Amino acid sequence: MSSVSLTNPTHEAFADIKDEIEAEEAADPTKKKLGFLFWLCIGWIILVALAATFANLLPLPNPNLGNYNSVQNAGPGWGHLLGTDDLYRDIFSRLVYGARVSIVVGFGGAIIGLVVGGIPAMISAYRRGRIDTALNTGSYIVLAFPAIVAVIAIVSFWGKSLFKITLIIGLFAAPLIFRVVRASTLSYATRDFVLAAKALGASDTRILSREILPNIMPTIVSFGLIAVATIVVLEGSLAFLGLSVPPPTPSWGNMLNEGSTLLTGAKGQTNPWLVIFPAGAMFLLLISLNVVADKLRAYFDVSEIKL
Amino acid sequence: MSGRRLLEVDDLHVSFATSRGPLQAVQGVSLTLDQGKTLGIVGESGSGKTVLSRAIMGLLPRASTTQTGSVRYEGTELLNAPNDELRKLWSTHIAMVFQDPMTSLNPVQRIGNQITEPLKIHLKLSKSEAKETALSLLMQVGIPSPVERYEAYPAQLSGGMRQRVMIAIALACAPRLLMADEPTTGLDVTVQAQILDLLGQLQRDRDMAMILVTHDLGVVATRTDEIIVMYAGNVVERAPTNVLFKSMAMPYTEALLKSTPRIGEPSHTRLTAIEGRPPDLLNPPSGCPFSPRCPYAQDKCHVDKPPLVEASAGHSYACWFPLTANEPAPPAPEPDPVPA
Amino acid sequence: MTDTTVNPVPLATEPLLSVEDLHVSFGRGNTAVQAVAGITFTMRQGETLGLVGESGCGKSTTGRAVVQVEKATSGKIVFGDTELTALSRGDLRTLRTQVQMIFQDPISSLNPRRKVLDIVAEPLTIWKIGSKEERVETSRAMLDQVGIDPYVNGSRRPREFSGGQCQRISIARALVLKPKLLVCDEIVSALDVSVQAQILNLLQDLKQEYNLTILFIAHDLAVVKNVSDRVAVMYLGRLCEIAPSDLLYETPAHHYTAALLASAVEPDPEAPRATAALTGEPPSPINPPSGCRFRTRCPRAEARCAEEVPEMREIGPGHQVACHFPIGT
Repeated sequence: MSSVSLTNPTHEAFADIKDEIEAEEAADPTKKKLGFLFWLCIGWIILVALAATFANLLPLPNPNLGNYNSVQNAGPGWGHLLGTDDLYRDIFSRLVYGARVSIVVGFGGAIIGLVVGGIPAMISAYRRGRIDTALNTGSYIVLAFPAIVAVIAIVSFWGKSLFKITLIIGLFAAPLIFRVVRASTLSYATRDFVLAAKALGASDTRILSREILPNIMPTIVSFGLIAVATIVVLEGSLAFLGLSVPPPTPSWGNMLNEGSTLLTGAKGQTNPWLVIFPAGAMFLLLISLNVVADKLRAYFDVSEIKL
Repeated sequence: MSGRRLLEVDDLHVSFATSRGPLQAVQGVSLTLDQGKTLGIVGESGSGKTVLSRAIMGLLPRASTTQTGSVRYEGTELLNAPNDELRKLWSTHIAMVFQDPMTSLNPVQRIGNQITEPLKIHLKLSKSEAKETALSLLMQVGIPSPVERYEAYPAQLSGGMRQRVMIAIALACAPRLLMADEPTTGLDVTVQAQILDLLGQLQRDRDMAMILVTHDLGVVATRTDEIIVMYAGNVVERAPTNVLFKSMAMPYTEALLKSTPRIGEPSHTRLTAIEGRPPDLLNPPSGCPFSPRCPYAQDKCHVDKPPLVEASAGHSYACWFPLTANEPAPPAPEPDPVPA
Repeated sequence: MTDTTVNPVPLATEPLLSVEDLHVSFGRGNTAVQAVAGITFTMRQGETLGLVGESGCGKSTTGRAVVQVEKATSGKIVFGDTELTALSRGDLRTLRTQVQMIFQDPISSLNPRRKVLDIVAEPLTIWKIGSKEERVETSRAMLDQVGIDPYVNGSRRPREFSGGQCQRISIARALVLKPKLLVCDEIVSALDVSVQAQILNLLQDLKQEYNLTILFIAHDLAVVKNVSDRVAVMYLGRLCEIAPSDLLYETPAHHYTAALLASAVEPDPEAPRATAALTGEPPSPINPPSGCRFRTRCPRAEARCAEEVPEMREIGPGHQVACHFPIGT
């Protein structure tokens, strides 16, 4: 702490040293910065999300219909930024439309998981008691069940649509999110400041939202972003099993699946671009999510007192 | 052989490299300790007393620490010595009792094992010999039913018992010098008395030298031969115990004593609190480190740092205007509003 | 030092707080722990009652039961005219504004993510007292009163403050609702001696100003004596002795009190050396001794002590003790 703390300047006296203090704080090397990489990754995520949302407004060729005027399996070039696939469809346009699936399933699933898993976790960890024990045991049981098997089974029977897949994945993510949020809430719920708030007469809702939530938010955000990344990969895996959104709707997973046959020339042709671009897009999105999650965690991980 | 010089510390400086610059934790400390004697090191948090005790033992991390000066045990230089050299002395010659037994004992190891470990490693005792010695140690430190407790885990014992186990471990190889870092902080009053009695008795039985590091003046008042008072990394006063309490020279020592509530005083006695806070060790102020808070401070105090001078036999202090028994204290100044 | 004695606040006659046969137990069945096993005491408005004892005696639990953050298993707690133990949840909430608590750990008592000014204003916000500007003004004034400059430090977070300052902020937060009763649970135990003195002086000043009634829980005998008008000694869930501070420390009647006093260290080399007046460890609260719980370590214990639980009885003006053979008989 600066030497100013040893005296007791009045409000007026503080005014002239205020600038000094601010300059000192700005020059403080321990003050945490998020960094250029962080903003780059956030930018990429936002770009992907925007592209996915406003895909119809962009001047893109139809992703589902092939344009037989183009060259089949062309590499990147004029007219088709990333080339075409073996059905004469534009890869770039398919990539942008495909982003929709990844974003919707990823973020949608994570949000469903947070709502279904996170909110009960906070309440039950704070209240404790029999319900908490029951939910806790329940989460263990569900987690013990191999989620991917369940997802496969349910999707096979119920049907493949974007909404259904998002819902199912979200519900299966819920127990894991439950455990993380519960553990985080427990570590704060026992602290004295929560007891103090109770003693002041704060209602439970107020305590949960004003005292506990701000403290567990960094964990939730970081973990949530990792969850998004995991779900995006999960969608890719489902696509490989033919359980993602049905063609011709593009999704990165579908594109990988279809393109994999053209890697080895099974259909008589090779076009590695069909795999490189969706894989690259997925890779960039995942890396960005992980970097953002990690940087946010580090930024908010303040030690309790500056020694 | 009582009276032999065991420990000599000469102008010890310890500073830590932090992201905001070097932190001067210990600034030029010198002390000596003879066999059979007890030295008390008193200071509040941030005074550097714990860093000093660890530096003497050689327990500070090498990477980020700069230590200069000299620490000699029976002539052997300990400061910055390689760990192999220090290991020969640890436990067999110098041992340490730490503050919090719950974190200083291994929670997943039975206490019997923790006591026999140094016996087997340093004294090369066999398993059965080590166990016998350990049981005898447990009895010496006053643990009832030692045979049962031998198999216990630390969590199964109370705080006082755990501290006794720590003492047993420290004494296992009969060291000549025992360093006790806040051994009774956090323990109940009655347990504290038991532990202090135990330490005193063991010291007498084994003719050990002991360094008692604490923030509590009460603990050192009746159990030490000499006391060192530390403030902001410096020794500000050193004297034989009786001399210190009777004719303290340093305003900080006086302020510390005056701000401690005493059982002998009537209730509702207004305590003379020291206003303000200890200085920032990253940017120590010029002049005497205590000058911003000293009720007797004069201009010189803020500018020049007073050296530690020896006034009478064994009594040293670092103050330009020391208190003397004859000078009446100036009236306590109006307490300022507490600085932020 | 006696010329700096502060005159105690004149006391009212009607009790503000009345605790009757309070029991607080944790757990069930064989492992049930009776943390508080039947204590009775009263407090008058304007007095400071010190509650002293060693770890595990139940003093913190008592404090929490009074503030109603811990549920009493049985017994009555009467605050003013209202019986706290019989209130509904809603009524209890409104009464909370009158009884506040300050905790031991200064750092975990404050929400690390909120600004200090907001923390102090929180009670006013919860109870919707005053407009937003008025709340800020009141909080600022309160911070100033406890010695924290609200303009320099109001928008800082707890991690930027020292332990002593955090404790001041907790005190400000507790007093902003102008409670009648303040329970201080080991509030200076985690602080350095010089900071401790500052906080104790501050508490004394605020007590005068707000005419507070304080239940001061601590294990340090000297601190408790300094702060309190009367002192109550607890052992293993029961009260041993209550008396005015000076009287208790000069002429303790209960053997446990005497042992505590004999063990206390004084910063005076001439003082009689504190000897370990008690041997052994306190018994387990799960299986306490029958009759008088202190009998297993008491030098004066006799057969009667094992059979009959000693009741609190008055042996002098304001001096009560629960012992069959108090000191001096």
